[in-house]
Amino acid sequence: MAELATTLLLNALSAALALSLVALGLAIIYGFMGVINLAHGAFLTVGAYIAWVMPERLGISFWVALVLAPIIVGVIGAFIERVVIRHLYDRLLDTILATWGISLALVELVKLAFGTTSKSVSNPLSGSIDLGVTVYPAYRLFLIGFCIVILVGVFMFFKSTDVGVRLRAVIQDPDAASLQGLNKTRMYQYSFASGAALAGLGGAAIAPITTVNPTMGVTYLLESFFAVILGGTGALIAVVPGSIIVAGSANIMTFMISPILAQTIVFVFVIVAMIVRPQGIVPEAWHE
Amino acid sequence: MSNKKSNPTIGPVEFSVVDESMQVSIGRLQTNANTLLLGLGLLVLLATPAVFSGYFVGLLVVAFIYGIFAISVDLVWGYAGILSFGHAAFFGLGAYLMGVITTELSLPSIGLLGLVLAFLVPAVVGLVVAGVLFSRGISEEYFTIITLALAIVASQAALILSDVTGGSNGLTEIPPLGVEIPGVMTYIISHNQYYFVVLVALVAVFLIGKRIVQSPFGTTLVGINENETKISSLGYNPIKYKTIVFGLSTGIAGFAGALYAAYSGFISPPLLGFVLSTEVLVWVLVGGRGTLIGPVIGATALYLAENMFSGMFLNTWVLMLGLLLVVIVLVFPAGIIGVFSIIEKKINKYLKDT
Repeated sequence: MAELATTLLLNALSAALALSLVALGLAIIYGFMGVINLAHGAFLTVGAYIAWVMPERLGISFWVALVLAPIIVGVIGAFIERVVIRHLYDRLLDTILATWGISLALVELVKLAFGTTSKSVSNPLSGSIDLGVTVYPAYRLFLIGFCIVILVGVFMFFKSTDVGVRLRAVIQDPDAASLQGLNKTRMYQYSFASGAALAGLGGAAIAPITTVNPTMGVTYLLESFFAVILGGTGALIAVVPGSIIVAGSANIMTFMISPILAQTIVFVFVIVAMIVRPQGIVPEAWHE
Repeated sequence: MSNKKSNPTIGPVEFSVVDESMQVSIGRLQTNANTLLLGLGLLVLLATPAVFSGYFVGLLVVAFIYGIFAISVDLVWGYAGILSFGHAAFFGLGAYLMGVITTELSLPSIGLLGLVLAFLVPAVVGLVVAGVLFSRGISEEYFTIITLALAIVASQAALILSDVTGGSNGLTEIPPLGVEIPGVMTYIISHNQYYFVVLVALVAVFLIGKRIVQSPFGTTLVGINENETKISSLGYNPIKYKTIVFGLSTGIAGFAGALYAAYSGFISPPLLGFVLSTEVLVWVLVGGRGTLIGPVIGATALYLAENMFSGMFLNTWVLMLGLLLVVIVLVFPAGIIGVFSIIEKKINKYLKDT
């Protein structure tokens, strides 16, 4: 019983942390720029395909792919910001449409390049580790640690580094920040690129424990949005409790009911939670 | 009228410009050029089945149904500024209501009841969803995300409730629309006649939509879209207006869905999902937001293009759709009707100058 409970909890934890990573990217883009990025799921898909194509077709190690995926997706994000998003800052609702168009196009390009069939990424850490209570797959343990390190790193970046503080200054008052000589356009481009990079990183990191296919991004897109909305957009860290509820509860329910039903229950729950508490579940004191 | 210049003429037809809109006079008959164009277009459409193949007419039937669907989206998006990413959930709800009712119950003229219910039920659902969300002060972008979730939940619900919906196989053998009075008459509308039924429905929905957007209700909606605070300080309740138009829109979407189910005879979960929800936004955008006729043109043109050129773009249609969406949003947010109105202004200017 304890064995099963531990396994279930660790599964839920790894799913929640991986979602936190992806949702954090979305929260950065929405929080800093006000842009609803519907291409986020496609960015994740591209990241996952990079983690598949490099070891399978190019003979590059998975670990190198894990480093390259966020860089490549970040560059794609910077390019998209430059060509499309930048021209829509005064029409934010239209960015929803434009990013959805980009999402459709990216997913179709993936389909054209690699076909519609599901791919599986061979596990780079195939063993299991004996935790005393239960024996747990090594890669999932790595994933939990990896996500925690990245999350803490990103939060530290915004809290204490120079660029992080500048970025937050631009969010709080873009005009005042721009009077102080902070380049708003550049900060927006960094935000979009780093948000995209986090989605790409998340996609690559989960690739070995999921099936990689062109439409995998949609579920993550919605789950990320729900995690962000549920947590509240007042603080970046709110994505963590948001993700724990969205991905964690769906993951645990999957043990008892069908995944589709579990996901539907979570979606309905989040919508109800939004109605009851539109500002998000984290206390106001957490807000920056 | 003493200083009236002589206007350009082609044969007996005389062109002039009054209040920035082109007028056409033939003898003593005078009308607005746009109205005339619509009338001529309608005449062409009435004659189409006599000229074109059954395959093409069949495509037009679905295109017109999508046109009705596109009008429903334009009412909320083009006029009230509410962007719904899940309108297919209501289109599909209407389709499934029609499908389930007509296949489960064998009552005379059940299809007509289906059409009514396919309007009423989605309308009530839309009213409840919009009423609850707007009265809780949900922001417009959150509303959009919730509608996207709604589409996904709806298509998953259609998969799960397989006893009623047939699951992933969908519902088959939905009977065509007909009128039946037991013992007196039975009349089943054929596929060719259905073209006219759908055309009439399209024109009716268009005229009703036109009437709504030109009414005080419609102008208030546009006002809310432009400046909600101002409208509410004038004593209007924006929540009430937005909720009513959303319910009306979801009702029309459901009605279109029912027309679709009765025509195609087969419906399945993707009908409720986000792909159709996205497509309808592209149609509205390409045709021109906030024009009612633009979305009909957009839906017809793109649906026909998709089917007639699908051989050419077998694998790239969705890619083109995505890029089209980006390009239109970036370069030409006013759509086809925007292009028309620029041409119209040029012609008007020419007419005034001569």
